[in-house]
Amino acid sequence: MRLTGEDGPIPVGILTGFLGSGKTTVLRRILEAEEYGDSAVLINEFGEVGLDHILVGEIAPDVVLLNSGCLCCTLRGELRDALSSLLSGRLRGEIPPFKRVIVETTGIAQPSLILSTVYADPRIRHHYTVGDVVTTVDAMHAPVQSRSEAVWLEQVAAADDILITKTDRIEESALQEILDLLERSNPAARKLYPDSPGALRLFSRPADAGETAKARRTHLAGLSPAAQDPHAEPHYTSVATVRLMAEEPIDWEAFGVWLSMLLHAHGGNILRVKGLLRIAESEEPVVIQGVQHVIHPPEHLPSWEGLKKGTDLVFIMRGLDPELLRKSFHVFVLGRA
Amino acid sequence: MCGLCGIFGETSHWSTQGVTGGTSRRQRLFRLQAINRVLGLIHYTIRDFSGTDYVVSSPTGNQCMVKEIGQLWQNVETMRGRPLDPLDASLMRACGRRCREQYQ
Repeated sequence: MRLTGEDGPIPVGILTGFLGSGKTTVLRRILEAEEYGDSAVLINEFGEVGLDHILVGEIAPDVVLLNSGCLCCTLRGELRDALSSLLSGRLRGEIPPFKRVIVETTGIAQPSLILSTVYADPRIRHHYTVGDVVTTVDAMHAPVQSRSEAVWLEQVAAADDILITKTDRIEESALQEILDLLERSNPAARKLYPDSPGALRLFSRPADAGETAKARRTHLAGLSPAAQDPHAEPHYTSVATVRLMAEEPIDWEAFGVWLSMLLHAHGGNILRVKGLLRIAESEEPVVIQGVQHVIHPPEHLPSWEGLKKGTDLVFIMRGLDPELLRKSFHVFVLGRA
Repeated sequence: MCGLCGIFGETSHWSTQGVTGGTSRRQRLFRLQAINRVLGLIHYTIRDFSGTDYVVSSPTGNQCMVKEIGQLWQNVETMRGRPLDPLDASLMRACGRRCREQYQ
């Protein structure tokens, strides 16, 4: 028996974009829209702490988290299993019918390898097809990331739609430069902003078929050496993550002083910070996240329900010693000698 | 502006954005204590200036005015000639020593 969407196999849309470019914000926004009510969502996060599914889970409770590794390298089997179990669940009537699957990737994922998972497995291929690839681009950091992060270009090049985020934080002239850069990197993609009318219809184009899909597969295979060499080293080996945990409440001011000092000294090499804080002055969990030198305004979650009470932070960084960072957190924030 | 203490809210640095729910003046005092704990390790100090700015002083008497926390570390780096690095082993040792002294 073949399960299909309305017009054929179920499209698997991919939401990608570099670390901190706003993927989860976009996902939250589109899931709030009524027409996305029949979407299944798979979230993959790099690092041991899944935060995105907590943020998205407020809107869509049945989010599946693919954790502790990068989907395009180590978890391709897990993606296959998750897609299979969605089908089984739907067959058994345990989950309602869904018209599309949206996969939110890690910020350092190569979309080409994820697409190849959907294409390569006979069972998956029978029921699913590749839908749109939507790439979020952080307007503030795009000029630097385009030069320093090879995967940034792969993500942009793979996109059917490019969603440019954080444009309110840059000048008009800088935005034009980013548009030129994106035009050079992927002239075929639609360039949208979160408030563009098209941004409300992401992942809703008919599933790809025929020449378009073939063209994209060929294009992506050419872009990604790892796609051609299954034994190639995972691309994130130069990137390290460290998880900082503490059960006791922490002092917000001590944390702020430590993190701002750390980002001043090493912000260029701290690709991503995210996690939950248990602070002494508040009953609710505080979400903290940022990219390189920029930390977003902290957010309160309504309660600790369903979460382990305590601070749980992940740093994704390049060229820094995880043990030194852990020790520094213990000494400066927790006051442990 | 804080309705209770009449202090203008500090600028938009993420660490000053009302996470704790305390008044601006109270939080500002806690912040100063926390910064002084770190700056004290290199014999620098920071103090409040009219509830709107900060004054950073070096052990040799150099002073500079800092408008907001976002500028603090850059100013300390300029005065000192090198950044204050929380991953620096000697700074961590000094901080650890102080923690032990507090518990004794």
